[in-house]
Amino acid sequence: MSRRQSPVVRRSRLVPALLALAIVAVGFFTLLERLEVTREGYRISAVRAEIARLENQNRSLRLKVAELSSRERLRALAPKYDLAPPRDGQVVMMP
Amino acid sequence: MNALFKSRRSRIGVLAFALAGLFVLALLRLTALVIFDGPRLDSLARSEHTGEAELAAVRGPIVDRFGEPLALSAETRSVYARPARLFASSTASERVKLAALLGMTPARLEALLMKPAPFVWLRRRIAPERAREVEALGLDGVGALSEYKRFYPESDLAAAVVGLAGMDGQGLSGVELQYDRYIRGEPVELTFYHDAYGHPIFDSPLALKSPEPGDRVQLTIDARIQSLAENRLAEEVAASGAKHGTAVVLNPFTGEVLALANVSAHPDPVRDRLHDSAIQDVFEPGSTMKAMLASVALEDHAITPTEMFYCENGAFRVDGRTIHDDSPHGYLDLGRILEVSSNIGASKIAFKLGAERFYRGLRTFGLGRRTGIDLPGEATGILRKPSTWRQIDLANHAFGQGVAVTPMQLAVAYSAIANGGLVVRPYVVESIRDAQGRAVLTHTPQVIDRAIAPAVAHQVNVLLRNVVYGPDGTARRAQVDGFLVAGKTGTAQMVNPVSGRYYQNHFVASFVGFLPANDPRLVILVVLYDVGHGHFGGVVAAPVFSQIALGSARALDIASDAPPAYDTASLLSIDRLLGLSRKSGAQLSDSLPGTESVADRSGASGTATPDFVGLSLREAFATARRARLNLSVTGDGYVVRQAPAPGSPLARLPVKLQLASVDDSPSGASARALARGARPNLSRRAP
Repeated sequence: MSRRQSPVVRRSRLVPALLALAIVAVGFFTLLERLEVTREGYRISAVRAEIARLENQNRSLRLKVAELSSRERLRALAPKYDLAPPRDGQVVMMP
Repeated sequence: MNALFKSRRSRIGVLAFALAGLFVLALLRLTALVIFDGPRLDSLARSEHTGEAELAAVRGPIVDRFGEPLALSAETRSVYARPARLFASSTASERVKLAALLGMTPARLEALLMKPAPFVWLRRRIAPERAREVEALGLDGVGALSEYKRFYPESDLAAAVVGLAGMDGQGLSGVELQYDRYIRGEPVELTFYHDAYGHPIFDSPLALKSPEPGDRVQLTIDARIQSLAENRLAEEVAASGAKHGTAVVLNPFTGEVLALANVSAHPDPVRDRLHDSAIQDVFEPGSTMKAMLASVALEDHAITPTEMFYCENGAFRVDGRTIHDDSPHGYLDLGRILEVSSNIGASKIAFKLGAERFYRGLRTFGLGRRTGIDLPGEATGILRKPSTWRQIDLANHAFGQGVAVTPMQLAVAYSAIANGGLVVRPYVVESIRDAQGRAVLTHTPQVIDRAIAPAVAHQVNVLLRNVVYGPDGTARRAQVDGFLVAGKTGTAQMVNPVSGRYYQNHFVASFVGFLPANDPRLVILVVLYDVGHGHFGGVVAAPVFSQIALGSARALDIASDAPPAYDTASLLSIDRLLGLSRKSGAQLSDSLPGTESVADRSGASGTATPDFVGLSLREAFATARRARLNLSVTGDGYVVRQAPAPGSPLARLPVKLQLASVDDSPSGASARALARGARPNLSRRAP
């Protein structure tokens, strides 16, 4: 014949169960946060790489502009467009 | 016992006991691992999931005073290979394709891959697009890393000032070296966690560190004036046959270097970046020294401007040597001594001043010590102590022989005359700013010494105008339309470094001056090294000064002293202007008032070549100077033949003179018949 459990015994099992659940929940959310931090870390790394790539591209473009507008290049191109430095008397300095 | 095992409670108890036992064993094992093997295992784990890298810093740019870039760094890619893996995973045809993309022969590639090394560079610092094509081949064992490369977009403009950065990003010369600690930036040594694919994991504040880019260096150099100076200098180096030339443009009050040009007859892109003649080479200044002599003598009250000096009719004996003037003169005052550049007059002034006072005066002008310019490798020049001077040395120093200066020292000395007597420190870097634009370093003008009083500086300023505008001035070709110019020419024999004697046919021609003389804004020095006979400072250097000065004045919007000579330009009809094409620019300039043709600039009484036949070499020089002509001389003695012939139209090319000695031979007799003047009496140098 089974023995009926007293109400006192039932209440004492509820507390450990709730405690265990709480521990599991905290552990779960801690793990979740950790994963989120790692995911954000990947995103930050990717953004930083993109920033570096764009900065390098910017530098390359500035270099390209400087090379295309260099005096030596323009001087070499000038005759092609019938351009030449002004000769004496071609530039009049107005007061 | 049966009762015990049959009991359910007992079985659970045994199981629990067994599990507990296993748990305790595991705990003991873990404890043992942590205590005894912990450090080793920790190190193994770190090597598995941490990586180290050095993030290179990009080198900061160097720009001119208006921000035009003269040196820039940009990312490039360097291709490497792991030979064993490449050989294992690729075919010969794939490697041929790889070689083609890298711009090398297949044999060269194979040779590189045969090296007994796990890692070899195939090609460093190539364009990123080319590296992407290489990576697109998908060859295992081939990869590319990012590296920065230094570029000079304006090619050789201001090469000696900017300098050179090496393959590993270190400064080797010029500003690149002098300010390397600012320009190179701060690389970062990084330790980070990474996953199985090598991707960094943000798990540490260290991952946030970025390399600090190099600072931006802004020069005082004006690229427009620099380009103008280099071009004009290059033209004259080619025309005169000089080995190389130097030009310096300075603000006399602040010491800012607006241009520092070095042009060689045989340019070399690397050598020209490593060597700066303007501050590293010395030369005997010749008659340009006379302005400093006059300044020191007036400052010391050794002479007055109106005091007369007897110039011995062109020949003066000192210590058994003869000092010559280009033309014989009697009594000259200080102004005329400078105007005609009398060596004898200068010597007598030096004798009156005395060696000690002259030496002290030259030292306050900065001779014999560095100017302090912010560039590496500056020479001090040569100025011996006065205790070692004989009388002939004192005389020689008076007209710039036996003493050596750098072009920059001479320019700074003349800046003192131009600015009222102050010796300023020249500088090429105006400011340095970090990547955020904050000023890291700013140069301000700095006075080193007072050489002469303002009143004396003004006196010498006025006297130097005679050199340019006087009827016998040696620098008439230094005149600049619309501006008052003051300055001095110099023509000095070069020293043979082997024998220690002076060459007879190798000269250094120079002109240094400032404008506007009544309100100096620019000091400009032009030096041409190793020119031949007849290439006086007033003939080859002064015109270059004039061209640089005019262009610089326009670039800097310096108001002219006089109204322009083109005030009738507006009266030209539109039809006449429109009827002239751009290709007929010569016609346009000829039609405008105030312009000069080549023939007009000759300075001869007409446009005809003078008659040199029968003249001694000295007389020929004097005639050439008056006519503002270059000479090309062969032989010794008297002129027996010339080309072009006397009376023919003047050309820009040098006049060729053939000389022969006077002797008893039949050819000598005809030379004697042609000879006109006194015995040849060559001076050691021409003014």
